[in-house]
Amino acid sequence: MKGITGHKGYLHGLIGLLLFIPLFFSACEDQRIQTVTRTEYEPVYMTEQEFQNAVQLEEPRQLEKPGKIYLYNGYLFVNEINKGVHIIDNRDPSSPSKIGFVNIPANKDIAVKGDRLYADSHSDLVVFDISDMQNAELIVRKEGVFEFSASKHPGYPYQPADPEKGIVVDWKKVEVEETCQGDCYNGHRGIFFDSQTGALSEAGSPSSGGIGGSMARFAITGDYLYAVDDQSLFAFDISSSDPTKVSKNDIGWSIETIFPYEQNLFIGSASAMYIYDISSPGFPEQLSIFPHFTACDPVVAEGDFAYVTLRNSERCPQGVNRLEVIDIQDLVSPQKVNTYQMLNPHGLGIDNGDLFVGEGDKGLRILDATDPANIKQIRHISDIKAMDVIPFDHVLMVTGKDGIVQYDYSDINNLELLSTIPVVKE
Amino acid sequence: MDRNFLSQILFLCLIFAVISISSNAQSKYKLNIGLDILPDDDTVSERLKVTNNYQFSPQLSAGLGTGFTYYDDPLSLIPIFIDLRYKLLQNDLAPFVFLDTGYTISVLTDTDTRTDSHRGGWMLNPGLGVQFSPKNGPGWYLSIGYSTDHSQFEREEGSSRTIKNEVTYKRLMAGFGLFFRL
Repeated sequence: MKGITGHKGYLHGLIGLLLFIPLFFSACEDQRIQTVTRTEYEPVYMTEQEFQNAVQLEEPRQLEKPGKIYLYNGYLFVNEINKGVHIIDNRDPSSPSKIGFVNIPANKDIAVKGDRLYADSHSDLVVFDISDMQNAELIVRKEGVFEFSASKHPGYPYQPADPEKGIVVDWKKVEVEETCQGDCYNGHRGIFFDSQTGALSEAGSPSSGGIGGSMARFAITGDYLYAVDDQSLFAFDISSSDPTKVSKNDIGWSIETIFPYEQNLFIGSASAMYIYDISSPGFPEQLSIFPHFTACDPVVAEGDFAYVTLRNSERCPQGVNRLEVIDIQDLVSPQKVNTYQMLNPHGLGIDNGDLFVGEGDKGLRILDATDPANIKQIRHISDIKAMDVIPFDHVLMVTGKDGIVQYDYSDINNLELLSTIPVVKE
Repeated sequence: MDRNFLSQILFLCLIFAVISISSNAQSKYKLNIGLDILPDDDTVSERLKVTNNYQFSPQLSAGLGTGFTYYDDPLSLIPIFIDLRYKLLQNDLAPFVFLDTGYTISVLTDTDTRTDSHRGGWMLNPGLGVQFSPKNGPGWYLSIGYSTDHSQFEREEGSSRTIKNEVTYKRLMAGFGLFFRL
């Protein structure tokens, strides 16, 4: 017992420690805590009343997240994704001036003809009288005409929308943290497939309306407004102030863009280019399907050739990055002419053999397509972000994350910067 | 790295122990080599540990130790710890209490599991036992106690999701080992 006496302090300490052992025994099961932190898109809701009352003309505002653009009669209409439309007087491209902003919740697409601005708003088609640009006025709302793209999430993952909470008018990125015992993540919290990036852009083409970018989902030809959503092609008779839905064609899946050219519509989807005949304008008839790799793909056409860009992206993760040229002399049997490697092609536009390809964050590519089978690069401007382009009357409008840049391309070998409408980051 | 690795370490330690049999009976330095069994409901984990202790008095010793704890998980742990032992009697055969505490370094032993980062954590292993300390030659001990370890591993999935797993092992333990005077 000598040792115990000699080291009483140690002994007491250790025995005291041992007294705590039973406390540890009370929890002899491993504790496993899993914390899943994810960034996902969360729907932003409005009540029906808020949604309808929100539509109004407001003071001009800065571009924040520009989407589709549309050129009509010297005015530039720029979609602010899910917010509305900027109206910009662009009659002098070297000095564009903002006129106003039309607040349209859940708006992504626009088209203009005459004194009317057509826009989507969730599943509705809204029509504005813009005879007085300073006082654009809502004249018609056609409710529930679009079926699939209204609540489209801009990316993955996203939280499923709950219709009981109201109308989805926008999406915001939120960080969600979930902690649970054990291996709790089961893959059903948030949806992890891919979706539309809700990015910028717009498309356009010659039509009796204005000109949109190549990534547009609205196009006007004659007295008809054509619109595509994820799966369908709609034709609206717009000869009167009250548009009438004339027909709906189920096309396929992941329909992305529409480009009217002469008596045809060229429709881009993630898996194919569709050609429709609109000689009977209210009832487009499918002429052919030109399949390609699954990729994001706007399309434009000029002469006997169509130009399709295929892009690998979050939305099209298995895609390729290239430009395809397709001979469309025989619209029923289009034939691939050549392919050209690109970096990350988005929208494109062509004017009399001058081909412009927006390479997203990789810049703008200017190509000589006078010989479509042997396209040559003239210049690659790498210091701008180019999502879509509209070349018209020697003025090239380029939309991108940083804003809208305009060039004079009268001399294709020497583009002259005319103006920049910048994006103002929040 | 798997249980074969553990076996190899154990084998090397045994060789070392045999070499140490020609030990100095008067030395105050002891080498302890032990194996702890850490069962839970479904699996049994093992911890091989080696400590070098200094005998401060006939009953109290303290030292530094390391080892390898194999868990049936993506991570196993290499502990670096302080070992405190107190013999309750001065007999050759005597009960003792002990406390091992320190920090663990994590090792990815399940290479099928993708992790972007991982780390260990604090370990705590108090217990009691009985040891036989002959005047000459190696001694042995048997012990029981409670052991807790902590580890954490994390992986990113795409650019939008991070999954962090934190595991706190709370196990009863039973151990045995040999010790040699150096």
